[in-house]
Amino acid sequence: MSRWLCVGLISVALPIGCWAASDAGRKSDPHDALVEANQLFEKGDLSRALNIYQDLVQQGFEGAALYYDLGNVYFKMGERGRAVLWYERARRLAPRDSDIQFNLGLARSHLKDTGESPFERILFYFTPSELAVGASVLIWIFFILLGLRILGSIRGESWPGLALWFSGICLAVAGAWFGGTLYLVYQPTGVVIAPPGEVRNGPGEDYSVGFTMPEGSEVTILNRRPDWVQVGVVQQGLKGWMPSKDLEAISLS
Amino acid sequence: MKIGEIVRHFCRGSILACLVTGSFAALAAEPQVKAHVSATDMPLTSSISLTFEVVGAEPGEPPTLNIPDFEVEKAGQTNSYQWINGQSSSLVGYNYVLHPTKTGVLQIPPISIRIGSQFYSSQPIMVNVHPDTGGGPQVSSGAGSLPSRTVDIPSEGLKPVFLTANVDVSKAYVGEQILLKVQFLRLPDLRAASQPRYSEPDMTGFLVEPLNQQEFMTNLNGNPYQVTEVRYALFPTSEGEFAIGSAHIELALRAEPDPFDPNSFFQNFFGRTQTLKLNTRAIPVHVRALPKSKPSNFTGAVGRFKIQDHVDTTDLEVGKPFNLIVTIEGVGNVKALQEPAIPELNNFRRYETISSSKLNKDGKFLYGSKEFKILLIPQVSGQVSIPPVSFTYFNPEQHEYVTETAPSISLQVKPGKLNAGGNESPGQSAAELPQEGVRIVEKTIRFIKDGPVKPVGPAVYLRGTFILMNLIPPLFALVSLITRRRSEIRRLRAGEYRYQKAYTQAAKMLRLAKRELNNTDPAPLYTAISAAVSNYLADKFDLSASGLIWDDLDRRLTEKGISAELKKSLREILDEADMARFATSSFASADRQQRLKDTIALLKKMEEVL
Repeated sequence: MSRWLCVGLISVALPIGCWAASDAGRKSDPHDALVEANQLFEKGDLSRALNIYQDLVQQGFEGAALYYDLGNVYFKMGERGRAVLWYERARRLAPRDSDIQFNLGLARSHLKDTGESPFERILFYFTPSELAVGASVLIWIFFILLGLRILGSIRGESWPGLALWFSGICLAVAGAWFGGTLYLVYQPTGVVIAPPGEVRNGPGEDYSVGFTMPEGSEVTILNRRPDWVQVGVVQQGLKGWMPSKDLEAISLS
Repeated sequence: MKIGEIVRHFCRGSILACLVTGSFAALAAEPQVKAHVSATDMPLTSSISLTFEVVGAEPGEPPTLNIPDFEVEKAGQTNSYQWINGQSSSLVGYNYVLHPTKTGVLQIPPISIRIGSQFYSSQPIMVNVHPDTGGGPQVSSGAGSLPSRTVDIPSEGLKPVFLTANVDVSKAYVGEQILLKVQFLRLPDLRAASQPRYSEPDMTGFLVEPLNQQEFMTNLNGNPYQVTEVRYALFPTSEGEFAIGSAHIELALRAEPDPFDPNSFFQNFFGRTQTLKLNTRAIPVHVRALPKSKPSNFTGAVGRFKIQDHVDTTDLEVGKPFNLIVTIEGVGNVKALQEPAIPELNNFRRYETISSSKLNKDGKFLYGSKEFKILLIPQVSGQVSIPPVSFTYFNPEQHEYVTETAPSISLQVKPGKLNAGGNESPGQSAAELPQEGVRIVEKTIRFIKDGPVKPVGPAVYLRGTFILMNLIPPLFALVSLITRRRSEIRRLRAGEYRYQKAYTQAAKMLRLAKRELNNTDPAPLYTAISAAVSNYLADKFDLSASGLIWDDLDRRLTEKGISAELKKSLREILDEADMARFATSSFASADRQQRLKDTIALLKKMEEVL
């Protein structure tokens, strides 16, 4: 029995150590640039602040604060669509951040319908990574208890037995939650960033305008062609084509 | 002579006596002269009437006028009597039409007249002549196109007195001004026995704003006419076909005396009056609806307007009230203007608006300004601004809606004390203070923030280490399951398991026994050899090792086909092992090694058979 325990502990400690070491090795500090951009923002030099924020993004850095500050710059510059886009990106990194939620709501205040259901709000309460770590802990608890139970170390209705049941239920919930969140995250969604937001009945200027979307609206990206994107509005059951330049996907990957 | 004639002559004589007495009394009074004009403020292209009156005397000759800044045109003379305090006096009026020759404040100098041996003079009169702006500072089109002192000759022809009415436009939008002019024209020497009684026309369907009455002279076919013009600014309230009703005037005229009638003198005073009733024709007006594309902030203003805003003080302090004054000025129904939409003032507490109007009714158009005073109390200190205020009206000349915007006002507010209620008196006790919660002054985005920035990498759940790490617990459970299964199988099929594992277990025990070869005491070695052989046989026959009996064992071995030689060797090994445990000194080291080899060989041979 003790031999199995040793094997288990080593199996856990070794990957965690490797993971932490690899993460530390890749870590760099663009924080100074963020501070500099924030100072420019405070002085009212929005264009230079925007350049620095965008440079950080183009260099492959991410952070809820960085995205949030980018949203603030665009909001101050009157570009509500891009503000919504970056607030939404920030929210996906820090879904419970009240500042992000507040500013996102304000940037969307001109919209009649935000396109987000209560179910989606629940799913986005945690990030996929948080849910993955939580599910991982539950996997360990559940399967270790299950193994011990199989081996006969846990018997009857003792607390480990109840813990086994409880962790099993939690693991099922966490798994479903994680799956739902992943579905939403990887569903291609875009934000209308150009004020006209004209959605045409075909991929070209020659096609008539079927409907219009206000700046900052979220749409589902269905198909891509050079310079044109097919979008859908699930709530209204509408489909159409928008110029690529009028739309930007929320996911940066 | 009939009695009636006697009475009539008596009455005439009595009245004559009274008049003679009165005339003497009047003659005894000092004559009075005065001059007045129809207007003291006039445009250059118009004219005014000047009347020089002599009361209480009959001048021999008319006055000689020398007015340098005006062209003077004679307009006749009027003679009448007036009763004052029971006494009659003569009134002679000399009428003139004056045309200004330049702009500015012009003086009509004193006018002198000789009465008897004395000269009497009137007071000078100042007249302001301004360039013709067409009726108001905001009106340009159409206003100056009509000569304001020209009157059309009525279709029915000239009469000594007549009443006309006309409008400047017969088609108008809802809310657009229509100028209605009712003109009463009469010859200057016409003598009225009483004040005319005027009845306004029916103007149902219009908001009516009377303009100032005009008095002037005009000339029709060479005949001077005195004109009294009543003007109305009409504003249609709804679309459709309307009619402005007839205006009426009733007046009594004194008939001209017959110079050949011996009673003409008396006829001037009795009975020879003629009552006239004059009417105008009804005027149809077509009222058009405003275009449907009304802006959201349109409140019904029609005309031409400008908007301005300012504050009444720049010494602003939190909690100290001040006025935001929004002024709309222009041509149109100014009184009916509604307050323009003031944007949400987040940094101020706003109170009710007080409005006031200033109207100018002298021109052809109703124009003026309406002021909206909005009382504000600053709620925050620092640089604050009042956003632009917009006002939308419909311009009937351009047939479109126009939005005028007053610029934003930037204000610097000093810190101050803001009471809980905003404006309650300082003497209130704490219990009387109204409760107040959080007040949102301005809703804007939250400020930028600082936070960690890291390179974009794959999500945790996509990393190989994470996935591998999470495979360990299921594997552990799987191994546990396998182990448990094997354990159960071993328990359920113990005999078979012993049979299969008999040789392995025996070989393992013999390897342990080999470690005892160097031991000086032979007992452990032989004990191990005995245990290995006994356990092997017990496992093969599913018996207890401690309960083995040779006879039973011999029978079973025989049944399994073990040769007698092998059984003999087996018996020797077992016996020697038993002996060695009790007589240890008789077993040399070489013998022990040989016995171990023999045992291994024996078990191999038996395994081949069993």
